[in-house]
Amino acid sequence: MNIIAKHRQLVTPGDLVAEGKFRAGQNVIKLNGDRFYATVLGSFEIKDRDTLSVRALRGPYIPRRGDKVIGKVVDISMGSWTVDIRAPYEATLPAGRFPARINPVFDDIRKFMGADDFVYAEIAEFDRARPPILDATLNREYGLIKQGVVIEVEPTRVPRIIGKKGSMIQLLNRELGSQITVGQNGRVWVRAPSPEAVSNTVSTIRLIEAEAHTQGLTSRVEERLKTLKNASQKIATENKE
Amino acid sequence: MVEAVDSGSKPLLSPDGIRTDGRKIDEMRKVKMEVGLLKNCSGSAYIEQGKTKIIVAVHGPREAHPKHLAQPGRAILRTRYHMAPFSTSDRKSPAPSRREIEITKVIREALEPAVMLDEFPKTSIDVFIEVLQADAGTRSAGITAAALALAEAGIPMRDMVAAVAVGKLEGRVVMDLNEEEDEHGQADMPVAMMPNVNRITLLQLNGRLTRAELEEGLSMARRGVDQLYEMQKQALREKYTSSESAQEED
Amino acid sequence: MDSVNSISEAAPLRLRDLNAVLATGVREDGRKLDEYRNIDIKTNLYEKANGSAMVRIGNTVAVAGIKIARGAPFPDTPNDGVLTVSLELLPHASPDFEPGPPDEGAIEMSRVVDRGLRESKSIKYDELCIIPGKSVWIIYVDVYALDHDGNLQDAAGLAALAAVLTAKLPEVKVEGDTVTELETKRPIPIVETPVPVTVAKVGDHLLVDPSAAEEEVSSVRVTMTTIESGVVASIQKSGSDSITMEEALKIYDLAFARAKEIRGKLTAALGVSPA
Repeated sequence: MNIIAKHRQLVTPGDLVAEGKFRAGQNVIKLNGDRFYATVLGSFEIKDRDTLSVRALRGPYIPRRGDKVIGKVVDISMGSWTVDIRAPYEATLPAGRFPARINPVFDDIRKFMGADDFVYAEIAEFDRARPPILDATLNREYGLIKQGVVIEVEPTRVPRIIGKKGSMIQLLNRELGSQITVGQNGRVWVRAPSPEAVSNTVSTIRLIEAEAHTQGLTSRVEERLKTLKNASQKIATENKE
Repeated sequence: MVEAVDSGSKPLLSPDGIRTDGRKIDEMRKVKMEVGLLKNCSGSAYIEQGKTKIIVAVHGPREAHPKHLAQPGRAILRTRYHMAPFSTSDRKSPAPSRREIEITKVIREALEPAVMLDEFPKTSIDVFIEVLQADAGTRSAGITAAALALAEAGIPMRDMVAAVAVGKLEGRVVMDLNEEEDEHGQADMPVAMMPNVNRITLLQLNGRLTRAELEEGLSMARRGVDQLYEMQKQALREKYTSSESAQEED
Repeated sequence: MDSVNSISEAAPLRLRDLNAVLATGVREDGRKLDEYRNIDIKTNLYEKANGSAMVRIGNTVAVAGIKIARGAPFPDTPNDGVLTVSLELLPHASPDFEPGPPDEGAIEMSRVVDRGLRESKSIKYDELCIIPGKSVWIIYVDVYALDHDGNLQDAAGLAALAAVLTAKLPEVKVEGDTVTELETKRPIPIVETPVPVTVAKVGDHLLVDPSAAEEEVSSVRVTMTTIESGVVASIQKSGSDSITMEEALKIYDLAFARAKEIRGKLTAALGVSPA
């Protein structure tokens, strides 16, 4: 039993992480006898004493049942929408799982949602053998996105943008008066009272995304929010004069 | 049978084993690697090996198009090795040559053993290798950079892949030919390997080697691959090492 | 974007069955693992060609024809003749082969034949020079795969080699810049016999001269072209798997041993051997 990589150490594909009697968890394979190697770039973790895994730092969004995602309509067919969710697989949103009374025989579903529209929904089914199925009826927040802007971020950065128990989003919402919805698939929906507030929110999210890997991120974000607030107050005063 | 040396007047190797560019027999050219330099792709890498300069972009895994190419149980790996028209002394026609088509195939087959394609059924992973300047060893440097770009894209791999060409000058096996050596040398043998599982994923030979030279060439390639593998890891760490602390905070 | 299909997409359907058979050291068709199929070589089949050959390896058939023309040398080799190989997988050979531009598998096969023959330096290109910098012999080797029962690579390579060994060039008279072709003929100056031998890997077994069924389940094929002295003049690994260093050397030993036997058959069949 010999653990070679340190807990939370950055590893790259092919790195030997441990030798001996372990279990290969996510992104770890057993080769050359009892030797365990990382298969992706990421952070090495040991769970439950003997399960070795690597949390990927990069890579595509892989859908999981229950994930809240922001999709973009790419195609419309009889009774369903084809939705890009930034995964290797395009998702399907059946008309029956859209929050509106639709009669798929008589209604043209385009009336409800067309190409390039964004939709907030949940992954209802996914097993890699078939395309993911979305459902936009499971929560009243779900449905067509009618206002605000949607931006794309690195899916692996999503946890940092959300923050511990949503702390980062709450901070932004409080300080900028915005309303932020983060899709697990790396799309962020921003609504704010003014174009200026939207722009400030987006630029702050970009800062979090770019510096997600640095320490003291929260205090730096707070500092930036303060600067933004002062600047906007100054402009407001100048406008009055 | 006499092994003719057709290197013209200038010897490619001095009696004390120094090459025309000052390198020793088993010395690789200067190598520079960088990852993540392109924004609009899943992963990217740049390599300089001597004057050879290559940029690689990876897209995917994404839905395979056209759809009939999709495989139910695995992703397909598609590669494209291409040389820029300005990459050579005489302008190269941009249309893919037979040489490029063959290299495209052997590069794909050099990467396939490493990429865990069964993780992404029905998708395609596309690797675009563009040679910006060619000074020998482009397929091997292309493979080294392609593996790096795949790793940067977060695509799971059983092992990294790195490649180097070994050759023969004045009857001696040498590491990593430059263009002059490639043109006038007696053999050129590109070798790609997976360093941890110690397996060859690309092997070609152009030129003449005895069995002993073949064996020596393979061992030398192995040493070159080890050096390149270290540099690949270094390139990834340089770009992402600060991310370690990121995970600590969550 | 290049196609992902090669000549035979590896489909390891019967791999387990085949592995069980191979573990006994005997192949489906009764051969030993290191045994080549019967080779049949016929030459001078087409009068209008300068040389031609048909090679049959078991049920695999390839034919090569040679046409010779005078032309300008490459600027970087003004004193050398030129040899060019092209290969076509005729629709006759397999229901999987379509007419049209060659796919990457056919291009690879053709370039491996070309490298084995040309890059082995066994042909004396300087003896194909007519007027330095102006006129040289250009040897076109066109290979057709006629029937595909595995190992088209060797069949194509051997057909090309046999055609080169038996082809004839006209002697010429040079007066200033005027070249006159004479009635007398001479062979193409070739001093060694570069013989390709392909070894396929199925499971953990190395099989010499794979049949189509074996190729289908093989993960890797390696073609090595060796000459009389034991020098290996070209190598090509093909297929989406890997080999060990030991396997590479084992393949060399197999390729060299089989090439020796094939060379004997070739010399007997042609009644000629390299100068």
